[in-house]
Amino acid sequence: MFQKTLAFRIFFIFSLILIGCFVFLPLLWMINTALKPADKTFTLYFFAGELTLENIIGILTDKTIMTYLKNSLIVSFLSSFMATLVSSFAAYSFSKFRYRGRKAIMGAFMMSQAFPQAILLLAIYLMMQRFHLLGSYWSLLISYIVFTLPVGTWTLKGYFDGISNSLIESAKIDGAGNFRIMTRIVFPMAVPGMISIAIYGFVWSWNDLLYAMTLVTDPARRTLAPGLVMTYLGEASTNWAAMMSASIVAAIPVTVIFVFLQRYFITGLTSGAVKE
Amino acid sequence: MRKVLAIALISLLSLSLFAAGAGESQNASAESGSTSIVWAGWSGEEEATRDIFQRMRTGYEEQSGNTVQWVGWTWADTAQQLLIRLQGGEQLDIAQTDIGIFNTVAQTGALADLNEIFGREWLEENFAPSTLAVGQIDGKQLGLPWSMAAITMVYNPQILERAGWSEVPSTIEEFEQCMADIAALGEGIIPYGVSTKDDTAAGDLMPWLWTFGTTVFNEDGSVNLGPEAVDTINWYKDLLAKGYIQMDIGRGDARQLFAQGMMAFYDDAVLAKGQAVSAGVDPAEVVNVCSAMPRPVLNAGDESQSTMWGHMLVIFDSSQYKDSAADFAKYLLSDDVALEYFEQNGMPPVTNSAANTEEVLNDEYLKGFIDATATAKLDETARMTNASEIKTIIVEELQRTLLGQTTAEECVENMRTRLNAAI
Amino acid sequence: MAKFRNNGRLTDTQTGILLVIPGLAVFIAVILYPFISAIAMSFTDRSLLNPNSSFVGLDNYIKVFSDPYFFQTVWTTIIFVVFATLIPFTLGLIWAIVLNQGFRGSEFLRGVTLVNWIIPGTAIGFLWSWIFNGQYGILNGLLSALGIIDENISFLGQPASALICVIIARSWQMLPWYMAFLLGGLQGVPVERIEAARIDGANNLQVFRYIVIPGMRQIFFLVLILGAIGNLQHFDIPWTMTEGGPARATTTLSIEVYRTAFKNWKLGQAATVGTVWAVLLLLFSVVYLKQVRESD
Repeated sequence: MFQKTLAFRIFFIFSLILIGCFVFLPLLWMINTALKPADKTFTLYFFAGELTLENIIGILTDKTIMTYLKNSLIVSFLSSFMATLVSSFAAYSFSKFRYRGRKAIMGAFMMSQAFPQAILLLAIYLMMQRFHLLGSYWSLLISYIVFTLPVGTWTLKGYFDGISNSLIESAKIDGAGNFRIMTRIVFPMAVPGMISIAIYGFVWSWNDLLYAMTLVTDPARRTLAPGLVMTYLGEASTNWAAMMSASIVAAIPVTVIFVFLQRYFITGLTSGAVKE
Repeated sequence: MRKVLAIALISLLSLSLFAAGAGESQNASAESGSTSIVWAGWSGEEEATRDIFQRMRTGYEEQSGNTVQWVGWTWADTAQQLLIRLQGGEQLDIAQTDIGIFNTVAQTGALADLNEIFGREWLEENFAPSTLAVGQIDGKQLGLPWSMAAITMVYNPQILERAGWSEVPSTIEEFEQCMADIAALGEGIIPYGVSTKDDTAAGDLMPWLWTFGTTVFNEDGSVNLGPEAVDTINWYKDLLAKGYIQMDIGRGDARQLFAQGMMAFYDDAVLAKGQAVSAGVDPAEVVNVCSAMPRPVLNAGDESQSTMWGHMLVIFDSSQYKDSAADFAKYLLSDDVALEYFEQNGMPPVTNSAANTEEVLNDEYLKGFIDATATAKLDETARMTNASEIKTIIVEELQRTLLGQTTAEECVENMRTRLNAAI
Repeated sequence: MAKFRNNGRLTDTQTGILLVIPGLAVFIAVILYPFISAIAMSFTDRSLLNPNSSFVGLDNYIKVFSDPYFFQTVWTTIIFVVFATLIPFTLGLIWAIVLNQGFRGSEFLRGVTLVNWIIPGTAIGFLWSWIFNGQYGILNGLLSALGIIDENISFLGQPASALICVIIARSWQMLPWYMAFLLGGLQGVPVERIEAARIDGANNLQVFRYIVIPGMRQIFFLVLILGAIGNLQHFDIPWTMTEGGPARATTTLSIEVYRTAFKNWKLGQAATVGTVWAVLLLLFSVVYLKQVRESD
């Protein structure tokens, strides 16, 4: 995209180092903390000093924390998947179809995202209770889908808007139905957008604390964010080292998936586009 | 793409069946013969107390045949989550509360009068009147004492030793001299970690206001803040200017610094030792680095001030299993269970029988906290519906003054105006 | 069946409506109803302490607007939202450009960058309050080890620096998100147009100015809007780091709402703040949508 002029090289190296430090140094500090023995947590040495795997092993062998991690993975994957699917449908509808009320619905989606979620909590709690969903994964899945929906719809609508109508028209002339066009032509072209939304939805569910704490009180179905806070942020003491270790340990499987997903989908996308 | 969709739909369907099935099985267990009560709180979630809470539940389940289902949150969120759960009417029988949470939940009118459940006689037989009083509101016994002691000052004897103090300072004058000596050590130790951040800053200010001879509120609930309040704020400003106290210190920060040996004094309850233990100090050795002391007084001979701290058990009026809940509460208060809780986590027992056992009376660490309890008062907001709002006002105005945005006089006047509007 | 035409297929309109139904259904059930009931709640004295409430008219609104600190809160919110959006946006864009160069390890870095974003907000709050801590903080330790400072700086104890610290922590958390979206946008910029411009003798800056930026305009808008809304909602990092202090310096609207609803139990008043904020946003988005429409 950019020519490797001297100025660009300087900009490149400069940015790589500066932003790299900003992004990765705090992260390395977390790893550093996770590797320190408990009584050295606040001794300011950076890897050069006593290190131990005690904290990490402690987390990995803690069945409760591992249950939280499993629940987080289940809830985040499912909600991210469902949210992407639902958003794709809605976005395609907004982008390529015209019907009365379309703009009003779009506006409502966007506005809802702006209302403070803390206030919606009580009403959502009461509703989940009415439908006997409290304590089940569904209470979380449904909330997370809805909170991802506006962002997902608007983002994907942008992608679909970029797909020329003539492509769709010509497919229609070839006799393809609306759903065939959607699944075979339009959706594949918006895969990068869908990945973004899937990741967005995933992280939203992964990080949510307030809803997860309120809607699910059964430790067997509790997700990681509330689980960590409840376990390590106590009335009398805060276990920083364990909190950092657990956050790092939990981040590893997700990072591996992200790294993998990205490679897979970017190659998938380019080859797919050439074939079509 | 179609295949992906099909797989997705199938997995969705199976998940929904799974989720629904899981929900039903839970209901079924609640309907079997013996009663199943729901116990809510926070300590059952924390790493330090998770195991002992589990043992308390299984111990009772084995003894009684009932089941106890635990519902927990963080300590900081417990009040809010209890209120939400109460509004929804989900099952809730018994809960662990501290004084602040107790007050909040009691204001909703959702708590059962324990005089009716346990009988006045049983309560009076087993608890000291001052202990029972903490759980009484308008003549009703809404809270059952579980663990109680005072929030007083905590100090590190080793640091004081190094600064040349073999005894703790007893007057403010001595206290200031002691802080000067600690600062003079040049070890970068913060002399006094009084809270200047979050709600705890209001909690720490009150006993100092009392020490200087005033209160936030009068008996009738109107704002007092006499001229001594200005003195107190000016004293804080002076300590800050000399570097004896610092901004951005909350209870958590103070515990952290204290556990690292970087702080000489701060205010805390008996669970102060938790942070030291989790930082690697042997529980038996804690008293060497963390000891309780009476708060210094203005003039020698004055009564030392401290605030009440405690955990209580409450039973909900809406509970269908009040008897089982009461039974369970009695189990938790029984000497064996209470003493094990004391041994494992240092929670001071409150029943006459458990509190007067040798091991409790001879506990060196606990002694200072129990001594202070005799004269401890309730936090002035402890019976107010908007306690948190009041504390926020006090803290914000205190911070403004400490940051140099207002004078001590303006601080007290602003507090007065805003508190008058809030009550 | 009269409904079906086109050889038994649904009409376009029917298809469009059918597609929006799943989203709309969950939306109405889970958001719209609570949203409307919250607006209704803003005219009552609803409290978490009491399930019964009564109509109080505009009392809550009068209370909110007569609060001497309300406008300070709005101002703090604006500063927080603007900077916590623009800083990670700019850094994220540069980072995306760097990682888009396709050097060895760039794919790995892309994935690893996302880690920041999947660390729970509370843990991030703790991490950064430790970095900025005035007593045992990492930054203070580093600066004094390098001999830059003699005495520790209380970063979180001063109003102005506390707000900056919170913005930095939030930027650190969200940078990966901007990077991910902008990287997608960069890859969507048509290569042919860049090549054509190169033939016309365009340099890097001109390519960036006249091809990349216009090509990514839509995604810029989207990311900025979504980022701003996310920051408006954002709560856990400032809450963990400062609880809105010192002296309200980091109290944003969402902190105010949380405190009013879940510390002071005044749901009605919290809903009022929420409604006021929704109206402010409505004005904002009307302006935004108008601009989008004009550009179409």
